[in-house]
Amino acid sequence: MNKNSLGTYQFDIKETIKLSQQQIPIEEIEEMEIVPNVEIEQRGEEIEITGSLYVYGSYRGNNENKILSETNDLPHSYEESVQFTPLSADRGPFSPLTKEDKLEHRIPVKITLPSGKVRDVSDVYAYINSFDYDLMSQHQIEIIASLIIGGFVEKEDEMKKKTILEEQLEFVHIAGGTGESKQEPTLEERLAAIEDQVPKIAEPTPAEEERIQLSSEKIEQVQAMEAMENERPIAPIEKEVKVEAAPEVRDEPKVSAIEVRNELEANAESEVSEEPEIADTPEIKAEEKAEEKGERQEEEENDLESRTPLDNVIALPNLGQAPEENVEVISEMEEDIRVAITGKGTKQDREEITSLSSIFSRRPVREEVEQTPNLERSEDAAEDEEEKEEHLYLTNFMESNQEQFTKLKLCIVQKDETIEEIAERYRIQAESILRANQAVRTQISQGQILYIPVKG
Amino acid sequence: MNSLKISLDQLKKMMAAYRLKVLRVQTLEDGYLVETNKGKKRVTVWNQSAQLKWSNAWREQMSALGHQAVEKFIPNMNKKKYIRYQGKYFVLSHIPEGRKPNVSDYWDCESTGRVYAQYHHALEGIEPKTTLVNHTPFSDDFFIQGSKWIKEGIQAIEHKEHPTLIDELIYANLPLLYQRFRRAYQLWEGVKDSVFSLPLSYASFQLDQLTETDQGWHVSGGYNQPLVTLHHDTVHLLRNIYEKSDWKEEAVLSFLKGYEEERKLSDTELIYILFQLAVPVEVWTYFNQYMQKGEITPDEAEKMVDAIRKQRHWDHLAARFGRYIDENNRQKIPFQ
Repeated sequence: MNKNSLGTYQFDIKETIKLSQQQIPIEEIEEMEIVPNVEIEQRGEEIEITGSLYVYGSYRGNNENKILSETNDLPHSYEESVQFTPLSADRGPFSPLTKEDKLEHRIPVKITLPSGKVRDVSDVYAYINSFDYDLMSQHQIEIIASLIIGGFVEKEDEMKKKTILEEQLEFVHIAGGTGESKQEPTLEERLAAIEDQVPKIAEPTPAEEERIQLSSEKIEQVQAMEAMENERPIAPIEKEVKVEAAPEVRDEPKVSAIEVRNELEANAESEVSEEPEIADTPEIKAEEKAEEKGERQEEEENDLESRTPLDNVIALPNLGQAPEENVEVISEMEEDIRVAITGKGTKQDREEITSLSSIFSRRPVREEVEQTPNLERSEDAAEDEEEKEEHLYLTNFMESNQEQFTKLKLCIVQKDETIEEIAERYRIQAESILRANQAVRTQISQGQILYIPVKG
Repeated sequence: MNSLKISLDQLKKMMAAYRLKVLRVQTLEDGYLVETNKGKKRVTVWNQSAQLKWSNAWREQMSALGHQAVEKFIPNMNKKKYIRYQGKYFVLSHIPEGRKPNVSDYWDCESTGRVYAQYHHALEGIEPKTTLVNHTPFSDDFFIQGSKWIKEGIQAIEHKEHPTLIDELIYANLPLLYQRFRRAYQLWEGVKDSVFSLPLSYASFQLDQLTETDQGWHVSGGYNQPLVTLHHDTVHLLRNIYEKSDWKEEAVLSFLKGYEEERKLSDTELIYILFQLAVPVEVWTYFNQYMQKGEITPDEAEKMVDAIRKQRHWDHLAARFGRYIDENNRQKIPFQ
């Protein structure tokens, strides 16, 4: 199997078809086609593609009866001159009058791929990309075809973009600690809008995994920023940076898109023996190292966390921090954090992008949110009952001890997707989604970001 | 049998001309087996005087060559070897008593080969200036028409809306028949100019025409048969020996050995025999019958299948005879 362009897998098929004795020998192929007839089903954590590729063909043959030897050459001996092909008292396995025959052959198919690579099983499709045959003998044909399985989420692409986002967000947080960074208006607005909702449903658990799905709109923004960044001088691929151990930074989620991507790749490799495409690249090594470092740092940060007074501060990003200052801070901290920067490791990279997940997942945010309901109660006592209920719910949601471990996921609403479908996908109640997303009632639209409370 | 039927009285009157009393009469294919007061006699009925004369000639010729064991026509009181009655010729001969050749005994095969060669020697001594028609089927036209027939047969079957299994069987074999036909034509072309210098002979010769007597192998038969170029009968006899010996080529080779001890076969004769062995006569006959009639009875179909199965033996015989020629040719060229 080969992985083609993102979202598709190519399975090269080479099959030898042998004719039965009842079939006339092949002299000339007239027509040959291959038709996939497969069922694509989800079985647990796997997408199973089963069925057959049907090879249909028609050919001409058995024309030797028409050829009456007109040779005038006599052999060198009289014995040879009267040695003949024996007559046949049987009609033979096939009618000598048959000059055309058909070919039918079934190539069984069973392919298993991880379901995590698709949004929905109905998105997966199969088709024959290339098809050729080779007439090996009058009784044997070799079929060469490529089966394409498509419809997989191009997560690599998405994850790449997310990686960019994450990397830049790390910088954002560092900058946020200094409060000197500038923020790009577009994202700032977006973040502000999102942050308005965040305190009510903040994610308390530190260093937990989040899978982020970015809307196409967001990806476009990121791409646009990437484009801008690419014009800037490119930093080394792998870079050691000493990062100031600001409390805001400590609780930043350590599982980023890289990890998600690696996980996907690992799945793909184990299931379909996909050739590694990323693992050996320096960027990924660097990222992995960064993650390892991150884990160590996380432990240290947990220690710091208990004694720092900044725990209650919401880590709003202060973009536009001077890189030089950053470096200075880093050097002061004398803590090594390896950051993989893939073509965007410039000083300006630290400026603008924020990570929603990182914001929500920080403990300080949770702690602040825990206070929020009280504030709301005192300030907005006249709000309608429904809002109160929602706030109460959120209050309870956040105040519960168990809920300290509640994860929050972001979901980008896909085309024609309903809340029920999303709820089913995340195995939660639709009401939970509605409660977690105040602004949402029953109508959602494509590209909309929803918060998915996941207990774990 | 000749269509002429005579009464017992008429037969008795004829036998009286030979001073014989008729005791019992049995009808045969070509005449009558008459039990007389002087033993069993054969009465054969001849249509043409020329054939009768030719038949008498080779018998006398054999006798003249020293082989007394030959069926001779008995002269009557009028010193004539026939009685003419209603345009037919009634001829009386002795019926030899003795055993028939055993093809499993290669000595029999060899000795009969020698007698058969003497018979051919006798045929060579017959004055060819007769009015007899040579009924040899082989000619250029035979092969041209044969090729045409095979091609037309293939087309006819291909155009049948509902071809039968027999159609398919014939269709499958016609190209193979053509292969043999074509090769026979090639061999024929090599000898056709010299073949007609060979003496006439009967179209066939059966093993049971030979009877072992005190005087050796007695030769009889050959009544009312059409005459053809020599060795049409040889091919017939070789096949007869081969089949009766249960397809033992040694029987045939023993016969040929005895024959060539008495009479050497020329290259033309050998190739003439070879090309005839290559023609699948029997299969050809059945195929032709079916193609002409467009239908076949189960019995005929069975015989056709048998003929096809038997053809592999005839193919083997032809190949073995081809090797026999090759071996003879090598012996003719010393130090090769």
